[in-house]
Amino acid sequence: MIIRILKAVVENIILFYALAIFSIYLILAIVSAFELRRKYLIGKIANYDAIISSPFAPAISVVAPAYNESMTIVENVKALLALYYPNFEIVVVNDGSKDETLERVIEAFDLEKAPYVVDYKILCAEIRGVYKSKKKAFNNLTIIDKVNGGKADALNAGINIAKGEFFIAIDVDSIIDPYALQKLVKPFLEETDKRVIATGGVIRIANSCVIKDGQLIDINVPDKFLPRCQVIEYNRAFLMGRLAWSRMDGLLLISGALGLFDKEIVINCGGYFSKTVGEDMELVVRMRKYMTEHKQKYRVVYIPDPLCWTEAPSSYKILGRQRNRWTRGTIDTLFLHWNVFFNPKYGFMGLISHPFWVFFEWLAPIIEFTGLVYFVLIAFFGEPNWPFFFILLFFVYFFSIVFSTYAILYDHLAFHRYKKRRMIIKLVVTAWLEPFFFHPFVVYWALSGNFDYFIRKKSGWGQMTRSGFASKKA
Amino acid sequence: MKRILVAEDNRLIQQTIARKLIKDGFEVITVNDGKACLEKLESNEVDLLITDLFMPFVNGHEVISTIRNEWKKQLPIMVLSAAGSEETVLKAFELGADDYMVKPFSLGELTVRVKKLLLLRR
Amino acid sequence: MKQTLHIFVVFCCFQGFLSLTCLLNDSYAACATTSKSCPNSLPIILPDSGKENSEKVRKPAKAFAAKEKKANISSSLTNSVSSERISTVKSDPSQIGKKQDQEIQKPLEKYKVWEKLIGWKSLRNIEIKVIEGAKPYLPRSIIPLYIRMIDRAIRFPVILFFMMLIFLFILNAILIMVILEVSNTLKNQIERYNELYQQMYERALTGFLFQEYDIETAVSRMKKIHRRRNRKIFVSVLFNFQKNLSGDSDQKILEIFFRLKLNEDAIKKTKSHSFYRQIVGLRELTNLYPSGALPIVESHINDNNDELRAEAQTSYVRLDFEEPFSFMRNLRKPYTRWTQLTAFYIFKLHKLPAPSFSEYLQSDLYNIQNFSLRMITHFQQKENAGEIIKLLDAKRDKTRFLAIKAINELGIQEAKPLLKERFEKETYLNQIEIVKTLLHFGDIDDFEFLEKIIRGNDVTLKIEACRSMYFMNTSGMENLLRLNEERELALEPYIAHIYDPRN
Repeated sequence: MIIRILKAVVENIILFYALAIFSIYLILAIVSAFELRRKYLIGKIANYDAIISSPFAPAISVVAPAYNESMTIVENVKALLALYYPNFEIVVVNDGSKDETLERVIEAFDLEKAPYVVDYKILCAEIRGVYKSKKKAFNNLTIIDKVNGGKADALNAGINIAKGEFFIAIDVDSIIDPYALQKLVKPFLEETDKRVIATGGVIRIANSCVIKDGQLIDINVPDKFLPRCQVIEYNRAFLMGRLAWSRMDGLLLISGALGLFDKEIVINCGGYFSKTVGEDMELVVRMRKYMTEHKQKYRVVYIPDPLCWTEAPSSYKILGRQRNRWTRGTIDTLFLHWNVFFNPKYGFMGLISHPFWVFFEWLAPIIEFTGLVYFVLIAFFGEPNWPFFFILLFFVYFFSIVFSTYAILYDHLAFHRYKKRRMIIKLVVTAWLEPFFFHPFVVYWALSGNFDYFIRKKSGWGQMTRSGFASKKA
Repeated sequence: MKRILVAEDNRLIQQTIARKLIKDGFEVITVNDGKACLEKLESNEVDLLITDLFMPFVNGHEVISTIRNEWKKQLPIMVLSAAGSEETVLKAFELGADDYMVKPFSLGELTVRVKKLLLLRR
Repeated sequence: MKQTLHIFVVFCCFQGFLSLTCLLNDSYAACATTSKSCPNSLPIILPDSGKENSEKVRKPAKAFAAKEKKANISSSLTNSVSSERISTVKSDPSQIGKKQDQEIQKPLEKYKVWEKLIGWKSLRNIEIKVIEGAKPYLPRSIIPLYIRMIDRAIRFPVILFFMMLIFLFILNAILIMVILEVSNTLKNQIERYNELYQQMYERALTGFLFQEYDIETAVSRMKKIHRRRNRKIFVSVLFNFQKNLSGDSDQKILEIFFRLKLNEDAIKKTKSHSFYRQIVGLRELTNLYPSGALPIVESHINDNNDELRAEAQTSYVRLDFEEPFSFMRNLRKPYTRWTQLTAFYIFKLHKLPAPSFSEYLQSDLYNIQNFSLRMITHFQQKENAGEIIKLLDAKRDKTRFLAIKAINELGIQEAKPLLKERFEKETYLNQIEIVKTLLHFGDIDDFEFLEKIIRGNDVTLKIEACRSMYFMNTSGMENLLRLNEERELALEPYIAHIYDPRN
């Protein structure tokens, strides 16, 4: 009897959950479509001539933490120096690298240790030295050498030294579009009654693209299956999800690979939290809370412009570690700020964004897995309704394909980066295969992330290997 | 005949400048970015460089700095850029540029200044 | 990047749904064993049950949730066995006809749901046709499953609903793929087309500008210029020229703009419904037909659409030579920092003489106040120091910051005591700015003030105070070095820091 009731409850929950998730994604996709179109038109008429030569362009500091990047650091820094912006500085933070990162960069840019008094506005691991160049051409380059403390800690050190009104947090091995700074700073300068506290852009996958001297020459769809799946996944996330959240002002996450922040607010919030692996999301949530608590109107803006190209993991092992880390980071952020959950004080974030992340981002793999286990049990002990099973299987599969194909379409219409028919076909076929060969792994990694978080109480980044862009030549 | 190297990523302007200079009796080589600019300088004898600042691969500031520090220290350099903010201009001069023109510029004025630079250097 | 789509294996979630129905099957089977206790019992004959004449009770799908709780539920084993019996399939074509005769004239329970839609008889016929029609094509082992599927589909119309959705999805996916292919080909073609004509027009225009041929020859070399797309390309070429070249070429550009009647196009665009077109038209007019632009621009200064308003405000600066910023008097909507930047750029570009901005310092709109302060600082307009000083009491932090900065850069010495007075109450960033002003016009009177900060705790303020004291004049430098002798203050690193010009 109890089992019957339990079964009914479980099944109903799963059913309503599934309906909810489908409907929400549908709504997000529709809102995103409108927002994408509007932003696309505005992007077409935007005139950036003024800012490139303006004495009023706000000062921006590019903060790039680096750990064991000796293979590519010089090339990456050179690329950063070539950004099109009149008033910016680059702060590279050598986070206690064990290789020759610091030595290489000192040699390449003719650096020397400068006498510097560090104002530790945000607590961070000890800064051993601040290096500046003897050459005037590199007078906007600063390298910080510090004791290892992790990415968040390195970012905090960079923020302490940064002079700009805004800072942009990047991954030093990503390729940043030269116009990125102009485009990212624009929302900050356009809003009048609310204060913009952070902006983010689209991150694209650079695998198999031809890169020369830190610049993108030729754009290709990745050759390997796994990065291709990630291309579609990123498109869905950025163009059919985040745009909608940004429009509704419920965006909780600005990617760590590229985000422009108001430095004053970040310092007032206490900087990045170094004890979490999801420091990018955690900071945005904390910044939003800060603004709400201080009764200041604010916005977090998202620009659907491809401004950053990054190398995606191409092996299951490394991708697994990344997803595991993301899951742990998500859980960390959601729990650290549990007081936001359904709290009307925090407005849209409290009532909708945070609960959404709890139910449909964190719990989704768990519920999925539960459903799977449940089905296996039914198949064993009861008589599963096979016609229903197949119908629903096909339903979900084709829904998924349609959704992914729409994501490819959005990306194509708005940016048209993949120009050859062959590339589009590759993407579409990947969309068909993704539910079989990619998605189950994503669920598995999310579960292992949960397991690691709650049961093994794991924290930290794990091993990341870099092959860098230098190896990929024309 | 004096040879001028023009480094400019806007193709139309690059061609327009080239045409004007050719008309005025110079030989012109054009490149689209900073890296190509440095490469051309290594292999060719050039009497004057006209360069933009914000270019792909290697920006104008670094081009000027490389030239002044490493070779061709006497090469007259004219900067031609849309970026007109004081810092950018000052930095260019500090690095070793000989002249700076802000866009939009007059072709006539460009020729006059170029001729003047060449005269001074001789 | 944490948003992933868990759509696919949400199918597992749907197993919940199907298990639900499985559960309901069980309850029906249970009812079957105690048929008398179940309401609505009508004998139903399955087309596939062939020789069996089992009478089972079926209920419409919608009644499930409510009824199942009331159903007398026995063990699941019995149920599954019963379900097995229900679903045994032995199809015999000859039997079908018999069945049709044997059928009760009343609508079968399972068709009740469809009653309203198409009538049970026609549905029965469809059902038979579908089954018979497919039988020859299906392998034997699949036929029972197929028949069972059809049966289920009729009993639970929701299956048909899903099947319809699936069909729609497939169509949709195919449609999108077709759109992708077509769009990609088109876009590539358009790109090549644009490139081709852009080069053609560039050559023609360059030739005209270099006086190699006259305007008519130039126009004749521009093929297909009557087409809208080509005119768009041409205007972009014109803009490219205008942005980069000044002098005589400007006149020629205007000449050719009028010759091709592009001014009329531009005016038409400004009357469009789409804000995008309006902006494009406005921009063309402003740059290439200024006199036609002014009235239109004025009408949009306070427009609701942010982008259009910004464009109008920017254009105004270009058009009203005498008072380029007079629109600020009538401004009721925000004037964003971005627009200010653009306005300043246009202003500088056309080398317009700077008006006095002090009248705008009184404005109600804080962004106009801020803008005026920025302009006054940039153009070194020292005339109305009094107005600037008044803004030290402004409500907004940024306005006060800009006022302090203006005082700093314009060297308004008389404000110094006021700044020191307000120091304690100011925000952190403004405090830093106040300390910075003392670098330019500090003197002995300010030593005490600066010393207090140097003895304080905040590192950044300390650095700025040291810097101001050191560089203000020789006596300041000496004073700082004297302070340095106090070992507890540990000013050595600070002095080294400020001495390095790169910091």
